[in-house]
Amino acid sequence: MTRLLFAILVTAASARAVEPALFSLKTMTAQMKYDTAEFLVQPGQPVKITFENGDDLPHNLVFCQPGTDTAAMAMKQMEKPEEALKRNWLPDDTRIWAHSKMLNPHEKEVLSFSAPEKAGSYPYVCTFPGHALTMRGVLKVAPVGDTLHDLHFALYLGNWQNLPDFSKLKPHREGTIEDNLLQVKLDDYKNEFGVVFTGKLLAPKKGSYRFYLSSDDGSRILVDGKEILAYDGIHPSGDIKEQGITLEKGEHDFRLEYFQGGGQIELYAAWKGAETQITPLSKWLHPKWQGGTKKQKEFEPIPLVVTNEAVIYRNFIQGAGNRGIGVGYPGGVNIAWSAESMNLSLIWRGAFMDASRHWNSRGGGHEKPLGYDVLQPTGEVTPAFFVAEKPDAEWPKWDKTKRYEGFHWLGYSLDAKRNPTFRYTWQGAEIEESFTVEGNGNKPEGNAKLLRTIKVSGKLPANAWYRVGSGSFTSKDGMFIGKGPLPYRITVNDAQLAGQNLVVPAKTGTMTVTYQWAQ
Amino acid sequence: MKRILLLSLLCSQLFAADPVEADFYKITTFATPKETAMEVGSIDLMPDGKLALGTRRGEIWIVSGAGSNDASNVSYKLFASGLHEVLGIAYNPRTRISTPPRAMRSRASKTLTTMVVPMSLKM
Repeated sequence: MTRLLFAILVTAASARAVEPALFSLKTMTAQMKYDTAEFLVQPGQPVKITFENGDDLPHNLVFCQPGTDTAAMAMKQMEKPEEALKRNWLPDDTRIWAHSKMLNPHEKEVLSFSAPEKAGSYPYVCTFPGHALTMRGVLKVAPVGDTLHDLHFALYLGNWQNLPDFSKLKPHREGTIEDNLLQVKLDDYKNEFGVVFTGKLLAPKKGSYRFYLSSDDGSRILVDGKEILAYDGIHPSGDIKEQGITLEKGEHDFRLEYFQGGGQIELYAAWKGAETQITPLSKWLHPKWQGGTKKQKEFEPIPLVVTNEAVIYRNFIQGAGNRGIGVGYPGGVNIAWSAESMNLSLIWRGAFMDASRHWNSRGGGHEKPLGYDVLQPTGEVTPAFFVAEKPDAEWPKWDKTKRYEGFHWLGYSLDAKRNPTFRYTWQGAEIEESFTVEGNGNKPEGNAKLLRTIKVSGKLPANAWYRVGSGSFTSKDGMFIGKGPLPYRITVNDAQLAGQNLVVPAKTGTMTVTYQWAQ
Repeated sequence: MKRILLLSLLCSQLFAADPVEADFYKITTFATPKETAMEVGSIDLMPDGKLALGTRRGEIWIVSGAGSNDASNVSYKLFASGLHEVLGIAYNPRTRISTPPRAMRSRASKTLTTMVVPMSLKM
């Protein structure tokens, strides 16, 4: 009886009407590529693809079962080319479950089918001889995630430049949102207001989840009372910010704070789990959210591979300014040094950098690290050394139009393993900094560490401090644990926690700082 | 018969075609190192007759035998890597080679001594 009931429930759930997914896919002229690398659909979802051949060669579109070696499948036809020609180059293969005709140049065909019921990555390919190596993509089948429950809002009135502490304010109006989608209702105010949304979010299992946020003006997301994403200040909605976190199975408190100064009003939030696709939590959809398709990247990736010696990549690195010096060390730990602030800017694990942005076309723009778990221990492009009477002083902030005073860059020298030692002077003292890696950063459980050695010679000014971390820290057994969505540890002798600064009194001699990701 | 006629037509067209670069310069085609894209942004001829080439990928290559008529005499040696787009290059008797990296070009072009090339390879 229980089983019967379960069966009925399952049928009812899968019978829930899913909107058809409408896509268009074009072949690119003289590039042997489709313009779309990935489609995202729900299990069983009706799919309609308008396939247009914009190239001057014949192409088709053939969908296969997950794991199919599509290049080998297409190549196999060359064993009996006469037969293949009769089939118009459609392989006689049971792994093919949907396909178009072989389209002549500038022909068009509309394909309609239901997405497979089983979640997975279903490759698609052009099976015309020689095309399969580059002309391919993936139809990803994944269910959508849950949306918010019990969504409430509280509207506040005020004129702010940044998000206020809403807990100290009295709401002007409160209520529930029937469709449980985040939205800014414009019934009464168009400018100078703030909204706090609260609701519940159900994590179907313990695991990694990712949140996405963009807004005009400022906003932040808190899960179970902890801030995980912030996009504060007055700004247009711009890029989508994202952050991954680990959630236990079950219901979580979701809170989104938003404020509007003047002008445009936009709010976009979404989330995804390991097995679910990006699911919007807001009514408004960001134009950069592709709605389930991923267009071909403009350039083929050029990942810089680190093998047995350090690899250096000097370029515009996101988070390390224009004079970024990326170093990929063997062992899967990477850094970006800033030759503007003469300081370590970023530390990350896994892959080093993708050079395709800078080694194609004009090569403009800042490229972000290719790996994961990016740490920025002391904020963006700020110096480590500073003179202050008290160590809780506010450290200099990056002003892109100016140089930091008192610093002079001397370059770097390489040892036999091509590990750089960065050299600079500050207030007359000469400083050398070098890095070594322990553990394995390519595995999350690899216990990876970055050891930073700072050698100071010459005379330092009085009240000189060396900052190794900024933000909120707790101290335990001589270690300092950086709080935030990505916890990490700093170990250093003689450190003092002063306000938002983790500092060491700057002295002539050698000191070592260890940075480590929390396990 | 038809085919021969077509061929002779093609030939006569070829002779009447517009002049090409090779009519004015002798062009020798060299093979470049396979491990990189030789996108050269700067060149300097050094006193010993070797060429120094700076590339967009931040490398400096020293080319021997570049003046030879025989392409097989040409050899390449990687002198430096990991620089930021070598947009200018100049031989400097003191430091051997100077180069202004992309983000510092305005400052470096005045002095040509913002020298950050690691001297790990002998020329």
